[in-house]
Amino acid sequence: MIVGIDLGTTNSAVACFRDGAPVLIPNNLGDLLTPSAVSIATDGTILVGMAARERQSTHPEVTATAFKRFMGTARKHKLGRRAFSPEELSALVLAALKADAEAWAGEPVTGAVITVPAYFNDLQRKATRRAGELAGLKVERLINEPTAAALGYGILDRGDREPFLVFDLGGGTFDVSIVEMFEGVIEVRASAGDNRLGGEDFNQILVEHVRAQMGAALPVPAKARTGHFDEVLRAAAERTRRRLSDVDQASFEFVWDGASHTAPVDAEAFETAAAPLLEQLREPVLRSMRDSGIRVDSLSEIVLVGGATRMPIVRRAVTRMFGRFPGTHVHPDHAVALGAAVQAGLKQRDSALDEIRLTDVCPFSLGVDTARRGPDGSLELGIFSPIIERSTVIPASRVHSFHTVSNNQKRIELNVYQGESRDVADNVHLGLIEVAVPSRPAGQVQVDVRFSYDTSGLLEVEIEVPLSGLKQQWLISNGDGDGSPEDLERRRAALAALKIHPRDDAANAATLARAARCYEGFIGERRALVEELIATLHQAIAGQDPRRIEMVRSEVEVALDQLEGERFL
Amino acid sequence: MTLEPWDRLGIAATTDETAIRRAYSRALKAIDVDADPASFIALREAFDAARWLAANAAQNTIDVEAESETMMRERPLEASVAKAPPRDRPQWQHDIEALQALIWSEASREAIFEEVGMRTRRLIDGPEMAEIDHATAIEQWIAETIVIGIPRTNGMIAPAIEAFGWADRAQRWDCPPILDAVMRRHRDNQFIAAVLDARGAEQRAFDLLRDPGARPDRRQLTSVEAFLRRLRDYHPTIEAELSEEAVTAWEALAWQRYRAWPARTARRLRAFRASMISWYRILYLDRIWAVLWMLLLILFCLGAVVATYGVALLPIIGALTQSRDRRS
Repeated sequence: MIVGIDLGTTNSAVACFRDGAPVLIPNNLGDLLTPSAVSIATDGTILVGMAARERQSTHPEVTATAFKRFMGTARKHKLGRRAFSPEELSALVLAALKADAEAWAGEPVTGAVITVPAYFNDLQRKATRRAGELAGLKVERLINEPTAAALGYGILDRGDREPFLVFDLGGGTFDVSIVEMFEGVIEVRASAGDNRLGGEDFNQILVEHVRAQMGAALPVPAKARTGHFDEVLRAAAERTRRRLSDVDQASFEFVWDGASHTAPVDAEAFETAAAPLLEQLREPVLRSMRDSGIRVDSLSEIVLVGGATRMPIVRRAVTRMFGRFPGTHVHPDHAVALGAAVQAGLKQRDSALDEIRLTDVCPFSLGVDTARRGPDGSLELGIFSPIIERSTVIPASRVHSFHTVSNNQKRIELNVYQGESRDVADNVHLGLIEVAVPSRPAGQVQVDVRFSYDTSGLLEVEIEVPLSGLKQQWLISNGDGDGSPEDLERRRAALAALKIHPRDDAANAATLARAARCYEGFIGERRALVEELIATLHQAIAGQDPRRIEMVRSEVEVALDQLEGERFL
Repeated sequence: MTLEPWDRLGIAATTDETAIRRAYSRALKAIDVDADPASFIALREAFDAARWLAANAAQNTIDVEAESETMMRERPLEASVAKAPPRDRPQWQHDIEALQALIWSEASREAIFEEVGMRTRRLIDGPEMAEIDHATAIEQWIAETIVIGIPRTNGMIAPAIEAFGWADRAQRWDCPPILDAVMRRHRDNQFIAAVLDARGAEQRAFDLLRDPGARPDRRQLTSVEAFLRRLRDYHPTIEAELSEEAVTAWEALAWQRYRAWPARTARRLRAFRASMISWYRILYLDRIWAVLWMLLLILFCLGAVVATYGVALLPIIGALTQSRDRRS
């Protein structure tokens, strides 16, 4: 079975294609979404999902969330004694999703289609693919999130559709894609985005707003506990932001050192504070419209995807931009995973999808740095020369020829870059290739550089020097490790050796973690009540009677819902 | 390998977009893109080429009426300006008309600068700018107006660059030419501001070139000429700011000086010197010492050879003379 996985910043989901339609797979808590969080329990086992997310504000030093934002970088998250790279943490989440899918379907998962933000660069894509391999999944394909959403939306009625725009604002990334459907071909016309803009940034804004508002009334934590304090504020911000989606006035509440603090926040003040972020939403939209050459009035629909598009302020900004209300046909949290499942169905050649094909575009320009002789003979370095221009339909393959600039040049260094700036320093550096060239006068040696971009958005470079017949392939890997199969195997073994918290205990762990968080978040009478609930649950678990445990757990959940409002994903 | 796009798509040449798409879709469903990317790339190229051919063929047969209609559609701004009833027209339309009137009016550049800037700012800050289509159309209109109206649109440049982030877009490799033109104009303005600020020879030259009444003066000619050349090489938009009469007068003076006998003699002398230098090179006179050393070396080698032969010959000669003695 091939599954589709939406590996999100805050939540992930897994789905598969069954009986002609994509189906979301519930996890062991019965939820369709699994928080992308990893935590180490007191007994040293690894918790993934809801339980880990609940521990975020109580045990920030052994919990990691939002690690997708650091994919493709060398940054490590230290959880207790062991340091994890973002791809290892993602691998743990993927492995948990894989286990959920296998338990639900009763058959092994052989491969996966994993979604990535369209604006993920090559390093981030490769890291995501490695994460899948570390989790023991064969990564059949990486698919862009807005493209997946469009695919899920497009196969609803399969009719021809005028271009529509997918506006995907997730927990940590923002993408815009313009998609068209004709004759069963779903074609992405242009993609643009910002891979550092999402719900988390709105939380940050809200925290800053409250900090400014409370001023001196804000407790000052000890140096060693600032990290913990920030997490408490962030969790409170998330809660407040969700409440602001329904009401105009909400209070920002948190407990620190046994004292309760509140600050009123109204929707209007939040909108003013978030204005710079809302302004940042505009640029990618403009870029995608320019690239596709489509005007807003010829768009048939605006499709909102991603949890952060639930915020009324974002919806208002969208309405202002397009002069009309966005559509609400798709579920903002489920659309991407469902689309990935459709892609998985295409991969499996599901007969229900015989008449559907998908083409995507390359969202970035890819090229090399070149030098140029100025009119006065000086050498101008670092000019970006694109080979595959953005919005090229993929898979694509392009060749450009370059010539030497100096007499008797012995070798050519080609730096591969991804980006749009004329000056390569502002683009993302992907790697360096050196080729030896025969020494000749300037301009007489030619090298042909071929860029091949595959459907998963991964790049291969081949260089040929016709004069000497030399051919060279790009064999550079970025990120940690040397990328060789042995190295990957070693790291997979290291991850597999970690003790994962037992799956059938996950629900208990999640409830206990939630209760622990509530215990820290309340004072007085309510705290005592939570303490009592924890004790009851512990007792039930010690009793080892599954039916009783389940009954007590649901009672505790209901009690907690009453105390703090419904649990959310 | 090079197939006509129509062959690859499996249809006869057509201008019908739907037919091309249908053929493409059919061919696409027949191939496995992941297993065989090369045939997808070929198909896609054929598809793009076919659409391009179709669009071009359609363009050639289009009649004038339809064309003017598409032009109206491409220029939504003018179209909506014309259609809207005069009473409840929004502020931005008034501003656009006022800007056009100002830019093509008889008033001096300095007099309209403030008002042009104010109206541009109001245009940019208008509430309709939140809408993307409107913002794009206004952006395009402002860029075009700035470039067409140089130098009278100076007041529009700074607010527009700031509001639309053109400075950032000019850093990108795919910056449209019109924005490049605006940014060049902006740089030229900054250059002039710096020149005027410095109050040096260049500032005097600039003032002289702007003043239609100034009589060209031989003493200033060299610096004026150098400044004019610099403008033309590096800041071409500034020439529009100069007084045409002044430039003509200074150029006439320069030409006069160019044609006068001292300059002519100097040029001839320079030409003579250049030819001497080239002959000097041809005869290797610039490497005379190297050549002399080389000759000396050859002589030395010859001498060495002769000397060696001489030494070798001595015993032979000796032996010959001895044998003759013996015979006798």
